[in-house]
Amino acid sequence: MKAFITMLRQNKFLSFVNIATTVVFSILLLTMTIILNQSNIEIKASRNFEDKHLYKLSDTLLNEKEAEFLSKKDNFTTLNHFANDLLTTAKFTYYSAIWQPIEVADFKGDQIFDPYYEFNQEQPPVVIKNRIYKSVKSMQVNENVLKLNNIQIRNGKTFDSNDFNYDEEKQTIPLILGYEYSKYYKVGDIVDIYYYAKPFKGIIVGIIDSSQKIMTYSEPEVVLDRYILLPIMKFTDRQVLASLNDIFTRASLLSRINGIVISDLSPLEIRSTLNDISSTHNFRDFDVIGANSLGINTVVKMTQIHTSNLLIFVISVLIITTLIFILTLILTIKNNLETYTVLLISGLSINKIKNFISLKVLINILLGLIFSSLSFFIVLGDLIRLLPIFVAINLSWVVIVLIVINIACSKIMERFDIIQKLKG
Amino acid sequence: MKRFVYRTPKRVNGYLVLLTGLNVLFIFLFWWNSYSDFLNMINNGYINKKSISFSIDALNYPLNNEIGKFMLIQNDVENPNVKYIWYNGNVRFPPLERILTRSDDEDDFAIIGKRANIEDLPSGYKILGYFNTPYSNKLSSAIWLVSTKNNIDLQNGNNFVFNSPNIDVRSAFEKFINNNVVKEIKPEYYGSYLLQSNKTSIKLTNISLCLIGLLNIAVSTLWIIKDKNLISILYFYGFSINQLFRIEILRKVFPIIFISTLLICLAWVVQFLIYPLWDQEWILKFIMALIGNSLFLLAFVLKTILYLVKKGGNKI
Repeated sequence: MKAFITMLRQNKFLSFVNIATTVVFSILLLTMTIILNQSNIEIKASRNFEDKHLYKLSDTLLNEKEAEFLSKKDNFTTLNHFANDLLTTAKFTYYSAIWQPIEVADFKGDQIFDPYYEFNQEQPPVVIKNRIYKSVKSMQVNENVLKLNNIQIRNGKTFDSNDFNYDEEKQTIPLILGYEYSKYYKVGDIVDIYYYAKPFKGIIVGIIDSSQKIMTYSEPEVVLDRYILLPIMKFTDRQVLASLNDIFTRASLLSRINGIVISDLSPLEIRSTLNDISSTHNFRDFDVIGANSLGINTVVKMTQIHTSNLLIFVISVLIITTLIFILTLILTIKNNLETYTVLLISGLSINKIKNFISLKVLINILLGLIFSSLSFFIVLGDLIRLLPIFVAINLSWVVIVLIVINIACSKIMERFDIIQKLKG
Repeated sequence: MKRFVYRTPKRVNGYLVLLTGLNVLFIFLFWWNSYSDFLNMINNGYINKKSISFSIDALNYPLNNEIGKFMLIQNDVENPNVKYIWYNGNVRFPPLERILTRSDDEDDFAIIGKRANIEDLPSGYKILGYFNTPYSNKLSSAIWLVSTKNNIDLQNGNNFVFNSPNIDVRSAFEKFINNNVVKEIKPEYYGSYLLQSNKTSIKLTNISLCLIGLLNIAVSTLWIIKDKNLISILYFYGFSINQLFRIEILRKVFPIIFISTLLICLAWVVQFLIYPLWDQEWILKFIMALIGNSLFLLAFVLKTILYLVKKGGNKI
């Protein structure tokens, strides 16, 4: 033990540098684990759209035709049933992401949230019932949008299935805010909004992670940082019939039937399925337009190529830096050969010295491991599920380093010929 | 004795090999950072994180083109895929598949994406080629109308993006604007800029650079300490501190500077002849790191000599 402490005390500066590099190594491994996890999430999201057939449904109810159609009470329930069937059919995935600005009272955010900020055509605030409302970017989404795009929530929660059911008693609506909003609002805040000309109490249930994006019909990438997400509401027939004159009900129903069909089925099969649903409800006032999937496929391919490049880079960095780390340790061992000679004179065997060297290396690595594992708890509490993978990668790395160091020690001792030196 | 000290060692020095390896890794990581940013820039429609987006309603003063290299992208909100490109100097364009050769005296030409709507191309523009950027959604659908004569017409749109390979883009932009009133717009980023893994990989590269910096210090220190007996002997033999310092510089610092200079030359060849990136920041960063490392080596050599001289006592 005394001999080991003597070894530990040798070259304190180098020991410090070794520990520091081990700590950085552990952080390197931690970052790699996170990259692997993130790449996995991104690839999963991109695969949901890869080489799929996409079709846009578009109602043909325009101007007088719309007025005539909605003049009949039964047509409201027809629209409602048609929209419900689109969502529930097992033949394809029905995806609705509708760009629709909403008005927010006493808005705390800045101009970047304006629907036309990027086009330099900002909208002035409006006064409704003596309160100042600001128009902001908003996206109405159904369940599939959050699921297929694998949207990551930073704080709070995502919409649950009940959030999509309209409740006329509550007059509240759950909201998920984009990352840029985290400076101005927090989960649990309540904001007064106008959604399709209807006042609601918007309850903030979640805030999205930064740089999250969704696919829409017109744009393969819509960045959600500056958006408010609202659920597209589902109605019961009673609710629809009770609010026939509400702009909110009419607009929501029409929004619901203007979504995108995503499927592996052939175009013919999709059209046949849509015809079946349409015939069941006797609703034929819609067109099916082949959506431009080239842009989406480009984004999907970009994600996959980026991930492959990144993995090659990460693995190369790990291998090269591990080699350099081992070389540094070997040089440190070579530099301490005089100490080992003294320890040999003191009666220690070569095997014992080799074990001490390995133990010293192990202590260094463990210090790094403890530091980076602690950072998991302190900084990345929400990524705690990655801890086992991280520890597994670290342990494999430790084993490799220790084996190489042990072999290197034997070679160095052989070449150094300590026994010969002791003989003089 | 002096000749012995100056002689080049016959055996390859392990420390020098390791330090060279570290420097190669250093320059590779700096290159990777710039290379991945160049890819991100392509995937974001050739707009990088340093670019400045702005709108301008009237040009009260002529724009100052004498600011070195820049690229100005103008577009109209009504048709954002059609971009008017103004540039100065030999700026890096996105990778192209040329279908025409162009002489320098020709004025206007168009570069289009393979998915661009050809009907948006105004008459009078020859198509020079297509963007060879298969993974960039933005460039694949864009039409670039390129002109070398910087006569900006606000009829073509009020929205602009200012790109410059200059280290200080902000200062270049302020000179370029020449007191005109502009409204800056905080842009959104698309493509690979959005990927979380991309953001983390930048952190990974920075951590790796720190690690290599630390290892560089560790190896340099070990290498210098290894000579402590030799320094003591030479001091006792009669060498002055100045002479010892010069010897150590020639043995340790000079080879590192020499090898690093070769690496810098190689980097210039890569940047200017093999695969040019948008800017040369990676080379400048490496030069800065080299200066830092050399200063550390000099300081540590001096400290080691002074320490050994003090510890060694009087000369014989």
